[in-house]
Amino acid sequence: MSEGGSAEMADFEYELSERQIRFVIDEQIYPRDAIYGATYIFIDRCYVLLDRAGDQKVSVRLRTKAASTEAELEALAGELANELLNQVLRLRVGESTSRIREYYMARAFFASDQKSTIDQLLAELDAEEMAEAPLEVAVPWEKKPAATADSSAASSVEKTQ
Amino acid sequence: MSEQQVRFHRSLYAPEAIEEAVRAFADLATLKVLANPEDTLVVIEHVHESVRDVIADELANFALSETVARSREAQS
Repeated sequence: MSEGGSAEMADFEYELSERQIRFVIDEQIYPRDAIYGATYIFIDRCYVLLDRAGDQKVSVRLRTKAASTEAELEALAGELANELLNQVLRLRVGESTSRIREYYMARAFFASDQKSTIDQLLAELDAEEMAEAPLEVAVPWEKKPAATADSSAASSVEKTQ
Repeated sequence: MSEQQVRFHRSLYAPEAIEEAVRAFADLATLKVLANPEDTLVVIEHVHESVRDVIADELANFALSETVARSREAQS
């Protein structure tokens, strides 16, 4: 294939010229977001320009930043074709799982009735401190068991007699 | 003095992205923005010598990058 000509690679047509390659992509097959995602990946290696080539048709021009051979340009075309498919798949997976992701986000933010981690730790510390007090010094006398109160009252009566 | 032009189709590039790109490159050239019904034309003049060969392409990359970023923000 000579430079400035067009080529077809598994129904993916492109035009080659010096340092650049041009495609016309059908938006009915590759949605615009897929085209955005795929071309964005090439920004570090190429200069990318999109243009409208007709109804539902987007023209993509990739111009390499450095000098490149015809084989390198063809490889670039293949990479873009692969990346377009990859982006379409990502979009479809994203759309099909969006309800699940929304559900998990909603549950994580709004359906949690657990205490915060700090509150949980403070509550555990309080429980431990109360459990380690055999004399129950920290317990108010009103809350002490009635039996304990009765026995202490009896012993005080014995002492006074 | 040669001028360069970059044409951004309205259905593919966000107007705010083009404005952002023009602002970013304002120190390197004189940029005029002409809004047409179907596209936005950016005319580049008085380009700094060091970026004469790449400014139009870099501007296009910047505008695309900003457009993609805005598109993703709008979806999230």
